[in-house]
Amino acid sequence: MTFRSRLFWVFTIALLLSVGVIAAGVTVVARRAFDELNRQHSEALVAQFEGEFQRRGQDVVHRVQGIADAEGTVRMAIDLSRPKADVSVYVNDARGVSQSHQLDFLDFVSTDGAIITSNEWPARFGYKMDWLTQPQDWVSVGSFLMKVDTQDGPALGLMAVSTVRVGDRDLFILGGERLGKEFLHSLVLPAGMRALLYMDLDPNFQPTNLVDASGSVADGDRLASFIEQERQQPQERTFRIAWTPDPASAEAFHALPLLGRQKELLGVLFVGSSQQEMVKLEQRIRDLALAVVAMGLCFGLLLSWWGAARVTRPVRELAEGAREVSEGNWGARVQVHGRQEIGQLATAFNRMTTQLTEQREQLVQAERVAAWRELARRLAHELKNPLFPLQTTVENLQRAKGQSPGQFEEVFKESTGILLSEIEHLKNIVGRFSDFAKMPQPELGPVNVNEVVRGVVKLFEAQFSAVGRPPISTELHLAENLPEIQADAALLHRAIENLVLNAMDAMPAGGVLMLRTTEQDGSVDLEVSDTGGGLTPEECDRLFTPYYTTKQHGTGLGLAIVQSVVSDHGGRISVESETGVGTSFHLRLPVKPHLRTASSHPQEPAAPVAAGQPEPKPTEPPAGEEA
Amino acid sequence: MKLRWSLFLAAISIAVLLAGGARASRRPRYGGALRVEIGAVVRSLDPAGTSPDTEEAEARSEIGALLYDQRNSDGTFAGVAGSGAFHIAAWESGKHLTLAVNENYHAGRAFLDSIEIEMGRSAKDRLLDLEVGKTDFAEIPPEEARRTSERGVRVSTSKTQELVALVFVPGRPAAENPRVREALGRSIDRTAIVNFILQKEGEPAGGLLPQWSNGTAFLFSTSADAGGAKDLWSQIGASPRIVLGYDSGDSLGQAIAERIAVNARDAGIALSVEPIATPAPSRPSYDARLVRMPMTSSHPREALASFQAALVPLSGLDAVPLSAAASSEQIYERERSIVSGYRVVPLVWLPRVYGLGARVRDWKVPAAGEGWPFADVWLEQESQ
Amino acid sequence: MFTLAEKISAALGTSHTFALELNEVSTVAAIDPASIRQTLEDDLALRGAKPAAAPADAQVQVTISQNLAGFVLVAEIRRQDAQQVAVVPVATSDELPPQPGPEPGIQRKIVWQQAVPILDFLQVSADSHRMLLYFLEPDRLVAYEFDDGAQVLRDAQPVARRYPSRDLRGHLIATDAMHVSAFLAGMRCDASWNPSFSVECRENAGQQWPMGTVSWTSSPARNYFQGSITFSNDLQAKFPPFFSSASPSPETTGLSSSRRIVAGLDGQAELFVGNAEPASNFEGWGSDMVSIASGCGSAWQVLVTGSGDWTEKDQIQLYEIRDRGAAAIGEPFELTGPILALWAGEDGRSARVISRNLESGMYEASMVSVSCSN
Repeated sequence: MTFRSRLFWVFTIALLLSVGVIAAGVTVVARRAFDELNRQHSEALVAQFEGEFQRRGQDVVHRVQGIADAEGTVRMAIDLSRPKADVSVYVNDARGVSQSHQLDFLDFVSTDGAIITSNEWPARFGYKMDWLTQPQDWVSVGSFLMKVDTQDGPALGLMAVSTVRVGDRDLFILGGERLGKEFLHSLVLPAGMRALLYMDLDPNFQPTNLVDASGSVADGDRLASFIEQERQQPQERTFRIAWTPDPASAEAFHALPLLGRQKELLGVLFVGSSQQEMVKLEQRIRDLALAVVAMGLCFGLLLSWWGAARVTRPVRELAEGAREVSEGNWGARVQVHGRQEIGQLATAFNRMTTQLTEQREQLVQAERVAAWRELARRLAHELKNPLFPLQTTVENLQRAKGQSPGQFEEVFKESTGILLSEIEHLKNIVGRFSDFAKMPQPELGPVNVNEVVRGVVKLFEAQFSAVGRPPISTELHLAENLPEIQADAALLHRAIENLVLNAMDAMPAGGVLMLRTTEQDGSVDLEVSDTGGGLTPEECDRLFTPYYTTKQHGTGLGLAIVQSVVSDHGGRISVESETGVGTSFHLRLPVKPHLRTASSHPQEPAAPVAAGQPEPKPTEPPAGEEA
Repeated sequence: MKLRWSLFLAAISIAVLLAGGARASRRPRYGGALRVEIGAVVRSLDPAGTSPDTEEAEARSEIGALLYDQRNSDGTFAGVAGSGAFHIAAWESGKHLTLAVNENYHAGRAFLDSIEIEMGRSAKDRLLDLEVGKTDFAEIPPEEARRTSERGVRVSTSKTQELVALVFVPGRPAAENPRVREALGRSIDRTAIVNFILQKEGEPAGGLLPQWSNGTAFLFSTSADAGGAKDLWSQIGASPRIVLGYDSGDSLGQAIAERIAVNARDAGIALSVEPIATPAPSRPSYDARLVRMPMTSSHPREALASFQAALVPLSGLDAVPLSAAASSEQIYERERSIVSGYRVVPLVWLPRVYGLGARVRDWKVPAAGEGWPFADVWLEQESQ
Repeated sequence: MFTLAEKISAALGTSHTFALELNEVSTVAAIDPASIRQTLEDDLALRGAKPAAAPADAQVQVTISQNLAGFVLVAEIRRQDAQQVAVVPVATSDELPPQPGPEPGIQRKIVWQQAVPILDFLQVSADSHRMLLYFLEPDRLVAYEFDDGAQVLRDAQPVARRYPSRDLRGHLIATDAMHVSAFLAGMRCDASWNPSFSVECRENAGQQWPMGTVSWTSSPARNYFQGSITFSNDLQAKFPPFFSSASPSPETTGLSSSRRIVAGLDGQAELFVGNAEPASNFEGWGSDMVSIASGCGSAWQVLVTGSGDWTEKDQIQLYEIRDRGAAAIGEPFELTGPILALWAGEDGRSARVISRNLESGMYEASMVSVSCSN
């Protein structure tokens, strides 16, 4: 992830978190405030209902008492107290009296409980209301809720009873008001609140019995379960209903049971408080938060872009420069932006690469000098050997000149033979050096490393158990299904040969030569281990330096060749050694090598070929390079 | 309060009468205009015209009896309009009719000079006008007779001559179930209807003809049997809901229908009432309906024949005519056959009740099928 | 009854025993239930059916009922699950028992009753044991002859009417027992026995109706008199139109016959004392009145019908006219229906009353007199 992206995400996440926390906090606070407000409104409405209920009840009591006190009622009572009184005369009286007293329900009931006249059900004359005749102080009862039978069906009434007594006979006046939508209409409701009344008049829930101030309620059956709860146990409850999937449609309800004289449930008052405003507020908060987040994102984008422009680009340039340096371009430079830390870092980077370049040049120069010295030493050493016999032979010839021709002839013949042999030796030495300088470019093809290893081992099998030398046992741990790599089989063969030769040279007293191949991360690992004397750390460091050798003889090019081959195949070689234990060379060869071009190769001088070492392949020197 | 004032007014009215506020006289006096109010709206005086409104048809018949000299046995009129005791002096269709006396009427000039008939007056308005003396004559609902009389208005009540019956509509599932019919018929408390709704102006009806007509009405039971009705109803499998219709403008019919609903409820019968528009729909939504059938004749045979004729289209019963010489027993048997199946359930007989102004004299209650005897009525001269 | 017994026995069939029960639902007690029961049992016995005490095979319930035509006997015969009904009409007598009048005071004796309207009647003694009774009906004059109380003759002759009237009034005067004259509807009809009963009618040109010593001028097409009273000396006195009028008898009362009470068309009874303007008026008087010499003192006494109309029962009240006031004497005499006509008796000491019994509908002709006992 780039710095810009990270910066962007950090800023965004910070913004989201902060906005989210604030929005959530505000929402919670707002909801609590709404809930509290709703609760207060509900309580106020319930109190208003109860107050109105009580007031109406008192009014009903007053009106019913007024009817009882009226002259006409008293005369009716007197008339009905006579034996064989004719009650039929009064059968239609209730209607007029109820209208004049503005009562919805009015019944005149005789002392035996028979209805004399009824307003709400005129045809029910003669039918009994025995409950009225039970001993009861109706004055103390006051008003009460009652289920009233009317000719249109049961209704809920706020009722009161008055009695007119004449002699030992009573005339009962039962009057009241209908409790329904008209009653709800009289309540003053704050905005967003409504009152519903369920009249429990039927055995089962009836949606038509649920009314509000304007009439029947849509989706009233949603309240059925709550009404059933009230039926089971009448008590005040609060609950919430979402009328539609839209949260704004939710409504919080406060249920108030309405009980009759016998404490039976006759109705339920629901005070509903719309959650719409709260949901709108939440929505608004949410929208605002989203807007802030969106703006923040944009700002973050801009900031990140600006930040990246100001920060990550120099860093990226620095990173790019460092990558170039890691790839060998030690002369990489970065642009310096400003004088802040990044600028200082860029400056330091440039300084570093400059120094690195200088130092590398110095090092290269020094290594070149050291390599030349080593080469000169090796060359001197290599050349010294054949040169000394050459010199001796020539001296012998000079001396032989003074001898007899026959002796001179013999000496001449011997000496020329020696001269030719040593000249051939010199030619070999020169040839090896030339070959090393002209290491060919690998010709890639699919190569099975296991087969190459087997080939090399077979090549040296005879030598492993040669007479006169301690045996060397071999251990092969070759991975099954080793993938083929793109390699030059010959060069690879040569490299492995060199490693085997080195291993053999490291075990003059015999030992174990172990070769292992494994696959690792898309590469093939080859390990060549011996149980020789091991190398010191310093020796390990210089091991791959051309012409460096720990052997008494040899050109020291073997491992350099190995390294060159490995390098040409895009691989790596490393060595592990412990004195007294042995040495292990680890080669990692990619399946598909990314070959470095000739221009990316460091300029290394060709190493003289050590005696006894296989001759390097004669190749054309890369352009621009000389052995 | 109302009771007190009504008694007070009644007392005053009586006192006025006793004090001779209307002049004392015995022999008919010639002159005066009789003011009549009717509830019907009569739009045509053609006696041959038909009207789905029974009230209008009855009013037209009454007026016809004053205008025509002869009446046929079927109730229609013969001769020319104005050949009777009166002729038309002014006519405003549906509103007002003035009849003037025919001076040379062969049966003798009527005592009245004219009759002013005001139409479309509600029962309440008629009662009020009678009470305040704004009208001389109006028919009043039977159930208002007692109350009207208490208010000091003269009330004249005829013999019971109008039958109120419950008729099941043929073809309706509920109506075709004999148990349903019988259960409902048994559940009805006629006595309560007469005593309370009709204020004792009327008689419970078990048969079609009142007692005074054929003398056999007592053979038909009129008592309610709620227990028997309940038992019958419980035997019906899928208890239907019965709809009982009544004429929409008939407040008495409505009260009776609602009381029947209450009685039915006691027997476990689900019954609802609904008003029937005029004219009645060709495909009724009700299972039974209340009908009011005035007797067209005092004679039991003719009265029964007219009931039969009216019931045939309503109940689907056959109308086999009675012979002209049918005896009381045969008439009774025919009655019994009509009501035994409970397709026709007689409820009550109603009298015709007339409210008379203080100055109306020599009013004789017309017999069943007879019109208003205004030709013999005279007006007392009011005190100066 | 025979028919009913026949029907009952036929319905009983083979029932060996039956219980008989008698009920009554009629409103007029004109039939004696006990006699009905007895007659029925006798008739049933003739057919071999005798009622038995309960329990019985059958129940017979007989109800005395009443319909438009009269009385009917309705028998319900219940045998096991079957029920039959028999309805039989019953004829009743037309005679009604005479109603006793209150005594003392006004006395009334019903002379005759019939279903046909009576306008006036005259009871004239031909000799010591023969009496003639004349009835003026709207369409005829009927004469009865009674010999020692037994009717021996009846004859009727049509009378003509010039004008139709809804309240037809007619008046009979007798020249002697064999000659009577009827005045009605613009006509005068003279009846005589010559030798048979005959009536000759002619138009009454002057519309004069003789009323004792004066004549009243009638309105022929109406039910009232024009107000003109003609005295025997052809002098006329003008009064307002009246239904009837009464004046004192000078011989009896010593009062001038110029005093007159008229029952006006406006329903007022007014006393005129020789002037055109009424001296006083009397409340509650009906439209018919006659002066009557009761023999109880010499005051001017007038019999007056009550107020109301012909749908109500009427009464006769005796008033004594003193100066310009009228005092009711005794209790009013209640009749069973309206008084349709009140005419002075020939002897001046009685009055002829035509009334209608509201219950039976019969027209009753009565003679009313006043007794002096208190």
